[in-house]
Amino acid sequence: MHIAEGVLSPAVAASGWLASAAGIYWGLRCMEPEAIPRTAMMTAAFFTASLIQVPIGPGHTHLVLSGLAGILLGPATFPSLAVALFLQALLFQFGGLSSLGVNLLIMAVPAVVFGFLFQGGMRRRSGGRGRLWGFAFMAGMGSVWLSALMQAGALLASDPTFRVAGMTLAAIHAVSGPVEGLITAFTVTFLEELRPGLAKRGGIR
Amino acid sequence: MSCLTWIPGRSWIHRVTPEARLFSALVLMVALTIAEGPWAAMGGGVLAVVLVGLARLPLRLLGHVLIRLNLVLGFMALLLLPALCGSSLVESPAVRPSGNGFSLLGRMVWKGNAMVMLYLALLATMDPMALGLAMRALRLPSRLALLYLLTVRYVDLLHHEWERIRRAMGVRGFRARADRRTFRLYGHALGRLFLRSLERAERIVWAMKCRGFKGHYPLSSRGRWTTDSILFAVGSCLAAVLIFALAWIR
Repeated sequence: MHIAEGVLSPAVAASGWLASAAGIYWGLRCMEPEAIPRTAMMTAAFFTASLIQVPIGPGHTHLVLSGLAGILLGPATFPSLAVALFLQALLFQFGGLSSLGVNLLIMAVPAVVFGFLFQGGMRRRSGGRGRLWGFAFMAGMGSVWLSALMQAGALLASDPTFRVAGMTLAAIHAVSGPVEGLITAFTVTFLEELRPGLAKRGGIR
Repeated sequence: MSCLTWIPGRSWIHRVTPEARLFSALVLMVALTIAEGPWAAMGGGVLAVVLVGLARLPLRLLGHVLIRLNLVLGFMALLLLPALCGSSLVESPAVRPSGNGFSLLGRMVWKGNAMVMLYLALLATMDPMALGLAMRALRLPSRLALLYLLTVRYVDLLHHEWERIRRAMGVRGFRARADRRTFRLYGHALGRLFLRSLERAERIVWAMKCRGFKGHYPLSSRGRWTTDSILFAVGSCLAAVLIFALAWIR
């Protein structure tokens, strides 16, 4: 889900940075001071989770879990993922600093959107375990799919020559969507059993 | 094993203060991203090589990093293959390619390598904690700097926690397969990781409050600007201007 350094056109990279800066500012404003250590711990946990290799068919994929981040962190997903992506760019050269703005938008916007959808679905009626599972699955899968679409869009906006590349990458990510959905759903139901209300009440804010 | 690695050393760049290096990295990043054209790219590449030389980066490590980067870029190039061969897939009347595939590929590879070398020389040569304090000194939001510092502090710890959980699963005969049961167990293991990290975060909040945390810490926000670091920052601004000028004479 990372666009490497040097791939994006200047205009796309710059507008990505501007929009992400607004998102980070919004996320920081929404965060209580006491939530900073909790958000930092969750950021470290998501960073760790992104190193996990999960088998799919003959190959492996690495987890993104942006849907789970949206459910647990809400708007704080922006600063949290910004720190995680910055560390990844710095330590492993996944993505890069110039493409960090676009990469952050690609991951955080779907996460926040599906996080809000999840909270909305939980608020309307006290549903059972199945409802919780279903909404969490939708958030996990939907956010990865939306991210894949946005990635293709960013590549296409950068240069029309990337058309085939964007579509191929989107197709690759489409496969990992259901896996992300399943893992998100199982994690959320597990968390709800041990800490009732944690995910339903809008996470750790 | 720690997953937070950096390159210690005693070169001239290592002696420049972290604030000046972060500032220079940001300025040069903007210049390299925005400036277009072969001359600007050439200038950026030369600059990156000079900085790598000044930082005396170990060549083995540099090679590893660049090989990994170019494998990723090579994968992108593979996806660009239809465009390189001039397939009709790309040339639809609605979307006209802005340049040919080869110039795009060249820009991608050249800029990508130059930028990664730049970060390795300027940012990977300082310890991640110093980088957090440098963010604060450059007046980035204090909450963001604190979030970064705490994350850096606990990444290794949680990584070890995850390895412990994973080992416990292994002892009980768990083997990762592509089936529902594997995904359920992964979900539960991740849930356990998140719960443990939240419980630890509660204890951290209490410990921070005991030490006078009121939404922010009195982190030293005044940068240390020595003569060397001022020279370095001014030099990189000049280099950025030069890159822009090279783009302009295209």
